[in-house]
Amino acid sequence: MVVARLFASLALSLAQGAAVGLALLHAVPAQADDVLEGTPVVRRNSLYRAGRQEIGVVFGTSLGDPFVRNLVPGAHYDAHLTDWLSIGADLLVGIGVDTGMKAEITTKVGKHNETFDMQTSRLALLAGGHASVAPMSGKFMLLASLPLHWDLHVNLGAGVASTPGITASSGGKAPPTFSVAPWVGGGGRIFLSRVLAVTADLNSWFISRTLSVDRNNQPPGAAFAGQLVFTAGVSFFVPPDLRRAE
Amino acid sequence: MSARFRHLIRTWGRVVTVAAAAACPLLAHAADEADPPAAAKLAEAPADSDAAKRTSLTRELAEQGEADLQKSVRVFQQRYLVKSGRVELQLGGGLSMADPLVSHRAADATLLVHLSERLAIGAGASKWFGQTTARFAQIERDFGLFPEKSLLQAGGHGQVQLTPLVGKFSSFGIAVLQVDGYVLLGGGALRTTRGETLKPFGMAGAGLRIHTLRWLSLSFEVRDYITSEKFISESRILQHVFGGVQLGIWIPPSVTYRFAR
Repeated sequence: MVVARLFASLALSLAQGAAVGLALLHAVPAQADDVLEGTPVVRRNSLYRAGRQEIGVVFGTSLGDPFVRNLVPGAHYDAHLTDWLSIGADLLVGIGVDTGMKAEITTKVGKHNETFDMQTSRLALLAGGHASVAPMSGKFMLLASLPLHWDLHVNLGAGVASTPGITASSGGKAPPTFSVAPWVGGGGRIFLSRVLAVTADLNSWFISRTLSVDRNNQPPGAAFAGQLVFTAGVSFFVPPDLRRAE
Repeated sequence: MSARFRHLIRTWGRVVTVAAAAACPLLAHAADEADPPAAAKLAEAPADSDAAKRTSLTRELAEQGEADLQKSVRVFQQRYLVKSGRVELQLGGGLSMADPLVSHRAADATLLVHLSERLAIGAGASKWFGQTTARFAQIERDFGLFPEKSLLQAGGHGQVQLTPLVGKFSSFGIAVLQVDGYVLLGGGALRTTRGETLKPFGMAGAGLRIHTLRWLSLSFEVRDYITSEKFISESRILQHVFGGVQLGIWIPPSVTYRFAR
């Protein structure tokens, strides 16, 4: 009887040992693997751009104009192929507003040349296509109360720029131009809702044009120069539903 | 005698137990290297069929559970970024924008004390390097005029920063970085090429600060310096708009949390 109990105790100990061994066997790989290792840092995030179309209206101004500042209302369309890449088209119409420098030059040159007539050109039209890459997108809290999604994007485009030309009092003419205009820039979007975003962009258009006549009322030849254009506006996104990342 | 014998047997039983536990991983590795046909034969045995099925099902459920865990896990942790009570040394520079006749490059140094997560005060100094543009030469050439110019030289300022925006972003899903957006207001005195006297100026701006490390940030900033300049005929209000980048070095370099992460 005693021997039987001893063998039973030995068998029990062996069974416990086997159980511990099995537990260790399964525990070794569990300790080696981190279940979050290699997983994406962002998951299941709402994709505010992927597969959506954006229609926006903007209003802006050219920057750094010496003689005529151009106010530029316009519109743009973007097809967002992915969450970070879009292609689209832009249309801006120029409205010229004379600067103080133009008035000052008119006054000062007019003292020496009574026939001087300060004729200047403005931007009439900026139109083209573009590709945009949004390398940064995220969300922030406005005053710790309102979560908003945002992105920053880089633009690269090409199109045409039109100027109405200059007819000087001397009879000289700078013909209207319709030139190829590459442009580059960037901007940002803040999504107020799933379908509505406010946008701001600063782009530099490279435009060939004649800015003004000279002191002899002769228009010099057209020259390429960078033209900064700042625009702000609102964009509408369709469809209203958002995709989610994996 | 019988008690000692039982004690001996129990001791050996424990030794065998420990030995078995230690040997099992080795046996498992040996089993991994076992001849597959032999394992398959074992699996085909009717008695082991149910056990193999259960093992397979258990493994599938475990893998499914792990996948579900990865999808559902939400990590709530203390904020990565703490600004309150820290000092930020900003070093950077910028370029002037939107001025058709003169252009400037700026070198800036600013010391900011972050009083809270949203409010900071600071002081800084700037050195500007100005020059006339091609448009300036064109006006001289085309109109026979010699415009007066005012180039910024150096200045010092005090500023207040307010941070209404705090957030984060990712770049192509590679990493998540903290970001905040701020507006700044300030004023100071500067010197231009038109006289040695210091001129007061006001400053307004906005920026986006990206926190790359706990002790290092990168700020993209737009500043507008507004000052009055006296020309021959009259005094004028001038605006100098700069776009620039500031590298922020934070002191102390790390943050201490009140509670465990």
